[in-house]
Amino acid sequence: MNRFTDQYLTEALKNKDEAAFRQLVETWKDMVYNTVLGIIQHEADAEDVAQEVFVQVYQSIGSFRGDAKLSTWLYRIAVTKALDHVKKRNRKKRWGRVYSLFGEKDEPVNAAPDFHHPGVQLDNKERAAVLFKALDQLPDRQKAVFVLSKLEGLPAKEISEVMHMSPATVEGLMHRARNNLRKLLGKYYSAE
Amino acid sequence: MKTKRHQQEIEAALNSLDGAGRATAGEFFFTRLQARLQQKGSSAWERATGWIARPSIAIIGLCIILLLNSIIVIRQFEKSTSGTDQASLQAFADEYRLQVPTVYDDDRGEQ
Repeated sequence: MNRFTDQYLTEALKNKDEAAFRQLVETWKDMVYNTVLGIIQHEADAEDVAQEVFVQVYQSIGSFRGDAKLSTWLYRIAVTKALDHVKKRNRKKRWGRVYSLFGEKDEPVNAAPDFHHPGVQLDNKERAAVLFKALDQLPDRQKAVFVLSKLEGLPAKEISEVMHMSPATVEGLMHRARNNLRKLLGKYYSAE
Repeated sequence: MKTKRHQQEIEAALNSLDGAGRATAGEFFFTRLQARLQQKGSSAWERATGWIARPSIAIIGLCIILLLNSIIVIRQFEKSTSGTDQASLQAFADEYRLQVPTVYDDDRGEQ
């Protein structure tokens, strides 16, 4: 979608045009969902968060100045919301453990089941599940950069615009993410 | 030999997302989104009551009301006790003629 269409769509969205909103959702729902799913690794939660992304877009389109592309703005909201969701989930897990120490009943704290991304080819499913498990242990920014690069295929420059950082920082984060994943995968395979 | 196999596994896992297709959102995504938007767009009153009904807000509000009440009660009690003391002492003294008699009082009696 080019700059002109972006501008037209933004104006229409600011006027609460429902057809424009539908067009925005239909154009970018898979992109948003795929990004969120890569970070959250849970299909139902990812759909929920993807909807939250569009709710925020609908409510705060007035504050969008058009400096960046509409897709960049959407990616930014999707990454922020997905990382927030993971933080909340981890906090809930920690409290669950604390409650279980005191013998209080809370939601069961089970180890997360293997996540299978629907887009991964069949012969890579198992390896990808191991990779996602390792990915879940990375720091937020490394995780986001890796997902945007590997799952969405964004170049470093575009990731830098989404994440509000320089392309060099993105390259650095990607390099660290790969190294950390190598270490985590090494532990996994040596324990097998 | 084992290390080499591990390295190959690690690299294969790292590259396992290469060529992965995009996951697609479920059907009726937009319909569900519309329902959510309508839910979010509920009236200001509904949102306000929802906010007040949150346990943390309700408990804090209750504590503030109780604190203000107790401050008012304590102040009222202090004011009324100090006022009553003076008035009742005066009444008691008048009742039992506990004032110290002076020479002028006698003179007044003779007139």
